[in-house]
Amino acid sequence: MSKRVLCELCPTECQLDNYQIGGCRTRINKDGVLLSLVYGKPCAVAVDPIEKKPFFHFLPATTAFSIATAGCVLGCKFCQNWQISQANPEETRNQDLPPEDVVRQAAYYGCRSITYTYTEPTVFYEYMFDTARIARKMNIRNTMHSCGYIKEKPLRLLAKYLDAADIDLKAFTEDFYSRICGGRLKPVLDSLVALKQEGVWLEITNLVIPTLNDDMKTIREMCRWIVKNLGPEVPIHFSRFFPHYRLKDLPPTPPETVLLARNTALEAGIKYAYIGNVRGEAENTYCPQCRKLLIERIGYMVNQNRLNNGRCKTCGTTVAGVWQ
Amino acid sequence: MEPQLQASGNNITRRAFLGFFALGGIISLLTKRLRIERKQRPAMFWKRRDG
Repeated sequence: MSKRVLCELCPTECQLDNYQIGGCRTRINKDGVLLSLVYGKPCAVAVDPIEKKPFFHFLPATTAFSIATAGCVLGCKFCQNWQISQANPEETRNQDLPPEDVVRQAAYYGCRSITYTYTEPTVFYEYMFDTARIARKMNIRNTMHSCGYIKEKPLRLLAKYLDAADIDLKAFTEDFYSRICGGRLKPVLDSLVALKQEGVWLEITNLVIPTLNDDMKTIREMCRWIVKNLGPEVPIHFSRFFPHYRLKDLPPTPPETVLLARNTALEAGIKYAYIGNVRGEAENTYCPQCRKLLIERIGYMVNQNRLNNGRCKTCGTTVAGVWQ
Repeated sequence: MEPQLQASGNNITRRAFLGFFALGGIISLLTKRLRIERKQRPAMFWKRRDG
């Protein structure tokens, strides 16, 4: 009998012979059984402000216990965490931290949530899933920052324990995903719709890279798709790119470009558009009705929060998000 | 009287020492095996490709 297996976790669908490791570097076919090589072995553990993820409409000014293991389902040439995302599990310095200990430590440090982040949480799906189930029982929220490159069945199962997701929508063309990331756009769009349908709080991050995805026409098209398929209340973060990994030949994104992208999003009907990696007023949350300042931020720090039970203090408009 | 550096009753025989040494090795190997088994948890979404 053949010992070949088909991984059904991400759209890459690796077919693995005996003792072959998947493209994500974290799954091995051992005698016809697919095993996770990173379960309970995070290579990054930290307590971060939730704004760093970035979540701007989810428990502001709280901390998130953040974990990651080695590996990724994509191979983006601009990866900011390539030292761990493009590494094999044996190449990173890992801790021995089973799911129950993750939850215990999150509670010890007073974190309101656990975030599966830094690399791609899909690669440590089983670890994330088991941790999320325990955390839910302990009244600790679960959030993830993901590229959304995951198949529908595992995503919908995970969504039952997930409170919020920040999805990297890296661009809005198949060409970009194929050439720069080694993936496809369609499965990411499907994941966004599935998460919305499952009632998971959703925010989107778009890293604006000079010459590759900074065309305002495409950004407008992307924002219109978001408004149509996910609704105008999904916050979007336009982040400034800095040269990393295999895109060191490109300059950092001019701050004006991310500001232009934000304005394009607002014009397309998105209610909450932010900038990242650039300081300025566009980091703040304003009431979509009366335009009054609601949450003032400087980087990852919340200076003031003028929301009253998720409503604008001035006009009473409800601001979408998870506020407590 | 000269101070005693070690109580004579605590002296350990070579046989007992080797016994403890072997026991420690066996326990270490067993826990390592347990750790490896826990690390390699079966994945949740996959299927066999027969043929």
